[in-house]
Amino acid sequence: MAVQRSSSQFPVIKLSAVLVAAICLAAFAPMRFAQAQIAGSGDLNDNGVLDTDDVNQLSALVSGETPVIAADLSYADLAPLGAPDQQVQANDLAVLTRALTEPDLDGDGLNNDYELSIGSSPFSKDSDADGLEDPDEQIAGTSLTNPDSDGDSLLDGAEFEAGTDPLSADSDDDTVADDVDNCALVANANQADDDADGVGNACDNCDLAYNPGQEDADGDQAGDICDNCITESNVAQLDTDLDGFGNACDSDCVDPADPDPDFDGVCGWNLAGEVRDNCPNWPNPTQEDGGGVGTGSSGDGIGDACQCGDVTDDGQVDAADRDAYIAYMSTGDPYQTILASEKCDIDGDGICTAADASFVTNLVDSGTPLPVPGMCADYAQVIDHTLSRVAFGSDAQTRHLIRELAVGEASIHAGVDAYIQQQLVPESIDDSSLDLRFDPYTELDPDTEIGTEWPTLDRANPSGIKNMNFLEESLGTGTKRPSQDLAEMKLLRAVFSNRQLEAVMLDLMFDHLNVNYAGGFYKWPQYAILHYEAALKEHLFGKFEDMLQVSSESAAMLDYLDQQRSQVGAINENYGREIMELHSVGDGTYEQYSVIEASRLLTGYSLEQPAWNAAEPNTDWSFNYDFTKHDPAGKVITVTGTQPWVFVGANGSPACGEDNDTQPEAFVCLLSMHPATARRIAELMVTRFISEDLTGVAVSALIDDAASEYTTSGGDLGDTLAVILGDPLFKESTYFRSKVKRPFASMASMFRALGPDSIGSDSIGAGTAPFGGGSETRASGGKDGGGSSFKSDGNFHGAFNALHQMSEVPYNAVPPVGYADDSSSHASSGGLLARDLRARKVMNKYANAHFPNADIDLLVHFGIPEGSTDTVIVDLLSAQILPGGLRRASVPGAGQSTRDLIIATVGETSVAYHKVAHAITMLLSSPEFLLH
Amino acid sequence: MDFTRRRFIQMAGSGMTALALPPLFARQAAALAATPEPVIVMLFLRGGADALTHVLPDPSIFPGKDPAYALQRPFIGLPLTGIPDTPDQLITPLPSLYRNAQSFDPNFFGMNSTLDELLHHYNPPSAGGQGNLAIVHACGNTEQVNYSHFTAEDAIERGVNHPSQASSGWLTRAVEAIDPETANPLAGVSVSPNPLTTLSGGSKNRTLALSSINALKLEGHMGEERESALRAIYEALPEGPGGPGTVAPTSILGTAGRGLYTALERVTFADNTPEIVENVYGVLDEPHIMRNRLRDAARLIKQPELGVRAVAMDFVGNWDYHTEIPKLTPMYTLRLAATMKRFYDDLSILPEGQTAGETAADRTVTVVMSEFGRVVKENGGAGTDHGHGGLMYVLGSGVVGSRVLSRGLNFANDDEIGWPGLADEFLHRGRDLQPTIDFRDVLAQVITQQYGALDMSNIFPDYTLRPLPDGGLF
Repeated sequence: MAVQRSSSQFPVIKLSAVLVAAICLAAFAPMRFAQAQIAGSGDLNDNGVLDTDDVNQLSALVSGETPVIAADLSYADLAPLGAPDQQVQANDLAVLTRALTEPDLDGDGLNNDYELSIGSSPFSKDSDADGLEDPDEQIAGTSLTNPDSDGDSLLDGAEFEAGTDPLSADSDDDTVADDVDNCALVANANQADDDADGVGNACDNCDLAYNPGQEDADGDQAGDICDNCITESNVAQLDTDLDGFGNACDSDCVDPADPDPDFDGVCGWNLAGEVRDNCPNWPNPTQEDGGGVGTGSSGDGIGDACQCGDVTDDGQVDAADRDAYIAYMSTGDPYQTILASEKCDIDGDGICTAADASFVTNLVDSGTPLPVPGMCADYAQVIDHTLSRVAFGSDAQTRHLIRELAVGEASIHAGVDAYIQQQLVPESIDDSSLDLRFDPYTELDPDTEIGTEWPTLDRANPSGIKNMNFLEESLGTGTKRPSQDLAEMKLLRAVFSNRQLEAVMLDLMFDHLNVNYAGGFYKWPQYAILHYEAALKEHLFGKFEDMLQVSSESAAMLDYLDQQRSQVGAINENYGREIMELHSVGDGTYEQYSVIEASRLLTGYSLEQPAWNAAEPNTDWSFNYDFTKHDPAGKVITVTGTQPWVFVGANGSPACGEDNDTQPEAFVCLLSMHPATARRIAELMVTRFISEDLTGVAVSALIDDAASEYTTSGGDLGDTLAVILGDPLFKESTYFRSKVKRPFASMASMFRALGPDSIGSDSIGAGTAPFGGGSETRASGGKDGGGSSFKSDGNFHGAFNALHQMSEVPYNAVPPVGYADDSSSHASSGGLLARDLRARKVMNKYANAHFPNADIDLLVHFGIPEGSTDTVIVDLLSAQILPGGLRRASVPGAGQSTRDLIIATVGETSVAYHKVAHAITMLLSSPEFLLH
Repeated sequence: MDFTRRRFIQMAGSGMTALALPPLFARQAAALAATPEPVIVMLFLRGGADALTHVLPDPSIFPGKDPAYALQRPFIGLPLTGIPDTPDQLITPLPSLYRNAQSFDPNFFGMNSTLDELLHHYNPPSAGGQGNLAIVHACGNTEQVNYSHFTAEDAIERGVNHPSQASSGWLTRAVEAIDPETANPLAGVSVSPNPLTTLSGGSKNRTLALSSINALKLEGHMGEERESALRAIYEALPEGPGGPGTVAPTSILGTAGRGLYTALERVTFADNTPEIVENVYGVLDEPHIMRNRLRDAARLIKQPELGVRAVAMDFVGNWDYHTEIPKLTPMYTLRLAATMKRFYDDLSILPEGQTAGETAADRTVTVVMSEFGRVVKENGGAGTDHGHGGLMYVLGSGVVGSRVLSRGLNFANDDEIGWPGLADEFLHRGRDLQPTIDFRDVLAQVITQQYGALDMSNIFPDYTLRPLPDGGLF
């Protein structure tokens, strides 16, 4: 059958796609009409108002004093009973009399006199008796006195009800008039009707089966004789596994690619939207369900393996669990006192807390039911947490990968561990798809290709280059901004790279050794940023000393912290201070005189201008150790924790590392290997991957371990990171969602949650926007006009602007400390609002670009079975967008849970795809999503 | 098919937006009456502004002047002319009208001419000015521990010698002290994407950060239902201090969310006289983010029913000039002076329909400061490195302006007015402008003027306040 849908062409009336679909059903039987009677005006003396003279004249007609002639009917037959009766009688007189005191006698909202002036009847809501009331005709633009405004023999009201255009004799503009069109709403000039049932194929609910009556018991626009599921309304007729049973009636697994998320041999969710596996995310092949609440209870539909609160793992929530919780609360160690600690989190906040314990205590002691009747947050939480820390958020593809890695292993933890091990060796992971996404930006050689679309600058006027931020501001709208290209590439890496840990580490270490693009000597200093980042990337899992050496010799850093301007006799302290305070040993480990000594020592590090080559205008200035600028006098630098470093004369240095022949090289090596640096790097990583609160005993011990590993491994960042990610603290539920996502991370994780096609299509503009509004200026100048380009996509451009608002434009942190990695620096009222607006705009664009038939396709995409309740919609979406769980329990004294509030909100609309879109954006704006 | 009128109109309108939804809660700001209260505005020059490029001693070789200025700064010292693409930076005299006529050479100081737009406020009425701008020079955190930006910012924004001595900003504590019982999330507003340390922390929900109030709008399909639900979601989070140093992520979000939804409910967008305000700022030839932020600040202050008592923001830009001060300075000094003046003009606009009476400018004091000044001697890149003594601008209601306040080398003497000198032998630690006045003494006067007599021992812990010379600021 043909899916019946059309875009409305009406000049006045726009119908939503959903309503068109519903109205279509009536469209094939348009009602022809007999000439209807128009109600009289009552203005017998024709003076434009109803007055006593009119009453007197009518009275004379009724009494017979004046003989009635046919012409009088149009004045005097006032339709007091709802329709003209072709007579002039007492009831006509009665209503005319009333009209003198009731300004809107027929109650249609139009005054009597006004009705007279426009020719409609003051005595009938529907003056022309065409089924459309007078004020509605005004809105629709149809005639109040002509029942068939467009002359196609169909009454205006009937047309409106049928969905055809009362102002067009050929609503679908297919040259076949509405009254004879076998499908008046869908253009079908050929009038094809394969099953010869009188209903054209274009709107036949079974176009290949004869059903002139169009019977459709479940009202889903698929006629009964061709409906693949007669008992359920399933407009889309989805049959994912093509077995002839529509999904709505099909008990097969919901996702052919991931039919059994926990690999226990039992299908997770089935296509009909019912839970099949009684613990879909916990391997339990035997499906044991020994009961639920209370000792001796019988099966409750929730497998023992995921029975929330059953921390003793016996299938029941009972006194033994209560005692285990109490023991946990007194010791604080879930691993020792709670057998199945992952089943502890009853309120779904991601943490095992005293609140969970009190739920179980109340249940066992006083019978108060648990707030969660269903499954506990499952292993998905461990995966979600892992991906929120070692990756830029959780995505379906990687979740599946981790589960696959766990096949045959004891638990999902083995999959998580295997994934982390892979990530620690990024070169072992294929990332060619990211290279493809970079193609519009770089074609092999950044020097010559990147930025060919960037605006030309006058190199002869270098003063204009001094501050790139202001220069970019003045570029004007529609111009390609180099900083935007850089931001887009960073976002692409964060969203799409398979080497997620590399992307996270690159973000972390770039901030640690921050530069920005405000200055520079190039056509665009953004080139220096690209080269700098690429150089850091080589050492992310190698020696920190190597990273600090390339940083100290980079054009970007030498310019940014002014070292290249420092020379003997005229030092500049900027880099000498920050390499110690920020890059290595840290504030408080040295005195000001060491900063001056370091600055003297670093003199000579400078830049050499390349010969001008118009073909390669963006060649970096090259590093040059200009010994003529080096301060030849000896230096002594003292950092707490080691003996003073004595640098004799111009060249003498304490030994450090290999091939560190100059004083600056030796100094960078000494700084890198200092115990204070080891501790700062360990703290940097622990803050990012474990906890911002570094004061706890366990966290302090881990910092000690990591710093020790750093030292023994010769400052190896990969080895240090492996210690941190391999520590049990990494998976400790206390740290689940214990940081606020920074703006960039929240942006990247949003795209990862929504799926890879949520950014990067140019096919924007089709279809129905779920929200409307929110126009976004698209950057011009994308290299490809087709759908393959990811450059300059509307969502990307919006992301750049949003990052601007939230003050985290990539590569543009002004202070040398980079962007802060703590929650409090990135959570503001304005930031929350910006994140919410961004989520809605992204969702809007995503839906526009990919779901032109949003009312169906959006639901299909997110696996929402037709007719799902609001609760099911929110739960299914939450499982995909927020697999780590949504707060399900209400907080005493603080109202409903996040889940309840989202369910209630989607209940405010009856349109299914609006429900989906609102649920998604609210999930993306929830505290649960903004934490990681 | 049942055709209700509502349905008809819903269909006849364009798309979904015609569906009129009942408001879930009414915006009530306009209905609330409130007594306008005095306000403190803090403009922070993050990065360590070079005070001696803003306001400087007369460098001429005469007794009582300070020729060391020119010796310490052979390349970057004012006057500076003839630099390509850079406005001339001359020395505009700043005659001081000291209350104590014998105190100090009234013609000692001059100002970078790129700041000339401030003259209107500095000059006394007798010279056609408003006389409500005072400059405090050779001042700073007298207990500054080292030359780290970040340590110095943390200390000065918390109002202490060292960051460890307080967890909240000095302005937060001052706002708290006005009314320790009730907490209005709009009492302290950082007009900034992220909260300033100056206005963060505290025991209750009194501060929020917003980079723009233009974004505070309900937009889109079902905007009010979403807002109502999200408000409830965020209000279910624990309440607690936010801001730098806080490590409870849910309370950070809860605090930010409470602030957001309070602001959404109460902030309205109407300018009293939008076209006049546009004229005020529109004369700035260059659009700049500070114009928008100061304009937003003015809009918040001009709605007394919001109860805004403190506003803080960074003056966006880079003040950390290790190089090329002569070329880079005007880019920001021109903006600083121009936007400060226009901000004041904006606050001075009478509410619509009034021809006389008090304006927001009559109850606002704006303080401009930085975390430290810079080394007196220029460095190898025509810039200056991190130093100590700097300056503060205090502009607004009640300020007895037309004076540059600083102490001389006898700075232990409260009443002394003078100048510590720029020759090597007078420098602090051999390199810095001597801080002769502590920033807290300045801020305490502003707090007292605007908020009344409060307990300063909590606002500036571990510090004994000193009176300012020449009778103080007000």
